[in-house]
Amino acid sequence: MHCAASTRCPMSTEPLLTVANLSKRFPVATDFFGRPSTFVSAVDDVGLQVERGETLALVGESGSGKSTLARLILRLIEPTAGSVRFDGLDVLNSGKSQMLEFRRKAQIIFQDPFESLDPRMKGEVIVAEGMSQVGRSKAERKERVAELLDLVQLPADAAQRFPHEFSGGQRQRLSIARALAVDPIFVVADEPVSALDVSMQSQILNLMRDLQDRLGLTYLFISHDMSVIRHMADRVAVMYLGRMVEIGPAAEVFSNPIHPYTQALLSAVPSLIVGGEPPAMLGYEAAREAIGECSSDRGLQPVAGQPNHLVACFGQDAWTRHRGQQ
Amino acid sequence: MSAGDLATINPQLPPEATVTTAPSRTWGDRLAPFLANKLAVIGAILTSFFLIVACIGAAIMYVPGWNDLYIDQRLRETLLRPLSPGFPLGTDQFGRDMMWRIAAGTAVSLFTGVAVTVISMFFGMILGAIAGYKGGIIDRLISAIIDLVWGFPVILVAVILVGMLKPGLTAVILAVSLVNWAGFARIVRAQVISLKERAFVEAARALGVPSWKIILRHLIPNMLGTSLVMASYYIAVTVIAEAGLAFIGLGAQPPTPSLGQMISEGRNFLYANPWVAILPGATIALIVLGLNTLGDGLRDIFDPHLRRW
Repeated sequence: MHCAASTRCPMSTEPLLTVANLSKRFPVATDFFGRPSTFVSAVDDVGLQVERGETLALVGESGSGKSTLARLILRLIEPTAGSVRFDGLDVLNSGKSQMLEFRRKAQIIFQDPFESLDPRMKGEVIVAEGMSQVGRSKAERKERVAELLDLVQLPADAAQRFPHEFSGGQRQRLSIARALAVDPIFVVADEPVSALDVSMQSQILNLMRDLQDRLGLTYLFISHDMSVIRHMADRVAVMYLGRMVEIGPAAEVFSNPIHPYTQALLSAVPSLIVGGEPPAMLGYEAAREAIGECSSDRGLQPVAGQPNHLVACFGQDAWTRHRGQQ
Repeated sequence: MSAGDLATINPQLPPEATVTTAPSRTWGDRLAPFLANKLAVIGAILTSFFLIVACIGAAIMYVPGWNDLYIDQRLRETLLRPLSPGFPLGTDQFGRDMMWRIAAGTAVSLFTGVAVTVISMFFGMILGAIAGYKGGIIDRLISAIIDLVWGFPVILVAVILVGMLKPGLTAVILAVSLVNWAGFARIVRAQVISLKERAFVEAARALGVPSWKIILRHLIPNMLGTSLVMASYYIAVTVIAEAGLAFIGLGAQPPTPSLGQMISEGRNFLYANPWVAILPGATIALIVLGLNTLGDGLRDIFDPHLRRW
């Protein structure tokens, strides 16, 4: 999409990121001998593709596995099963040097800007952290830090200040600068504005779009806020209870949501329909039944007339029962 | 709020407020929160005073020719009260000058405290950090050892060690270190576990920063404050433990002066001259008070949320 303006984007038809059958189970209880006996499926058999230059938004309520999926893709946690292909690289089977290359290309911006910056480091140290892996000279680094601070519209004296001296929005700019310091082509934004107030949200979102245009970035944008998604997304992927239930171009998903969960998310008062603590809640099995085991084929099927808009099979009866339980 | 709102409200927004403080920080600025804490200043003054006293005491013990100051027995002038001519703090039952003996005893106490704390901090931090960072079976093994050790009273370990070695400072230092490292290890382990889950550590991992660098740049600096505060408390705890062991005769042996041993000997002369026991006791109390209040002040200075500059 933005490839034409950027030189770092090779002419390739392969998607930048291909995730297939990715699963992660966390042990939640252990038996007498300390071996895990009960698991929760945080991410269950998820597949998706992200094209170069686009923004794929990952939507779902808290506990739906969005953040876990993002960390699995970046290999910050090891998946139980599945594969991740990024820019021609088999991420999960990469050695040390290949991982370092991957870490430079794929970056992350965290939700809470008060947590994601080391309270003891000055702005310039925070921004330069990733550069020390690349091996630049001190003067080069200083220059590059100034360049990056300017890029994220922070004053130059931000280099000499500690995180607690910044506002929430400024902190988020600082973590964007830190991520961009290694010249990534792919950035995961894990709820980057949900900790900020509304006026700050729009500034950060506009900055992110501006950076995407200028640097040809590809975003995996995680949010539970539909208005933010509308503002940012080219395509939308909806997750529920660790599964992908619907994926498609933003316009189609917003105008024609097929899966009942997507419909619930998009409705005016979603919390009345879907609530609770998903992974631990009562009726979990009923919910799993409702979201996609009505036929032998568990894959996502295209919606009629919209080939890029896929939806998981769901049992209407089971879904109604599931809703009734809540 | 809709997408339209987001797009249109932006241009009218004022720029984010920026804090425009002078970036250069002098040592005066750094010490400001410490100086504002009156108790901490008292603690620092007390601790520095006893450090100077300890230096003088060590000099008396080790400079040849000076040690008759505290060993020399002036049998005629036993059990003098404080403020006697020539003896500001009086003399003990052998006529030894209490002032020099307390100085030497302070040196022994603080040396024991620092030695034990350095040893237990070294082993405690390494084992605690490994347990916290690695997790799994290694964590369980180290944690089990910590719990086992932490269950033993210092006195018991000291009695066993003194039985194996001979009574003296070495046995005391070994015994207290053998228990105290577990205290450090517990705290460091818990800190590493909470720190390694923090988003800034995850961000460093995402940037490809290797583990050892994460430990050096993020974990240790963020634990430094806690460790120093703990160290000051543990020196105080060790001073008390050493005095207790010396009191029951397991610590430093005569003629090496020790505050606990002086209290123990002074006990027999409480009616004749209570100061022989009171003065070393008060010294211990003041050393411990100074170290504890200093620890509180250090905690404030290392807590970045309390920084006001």
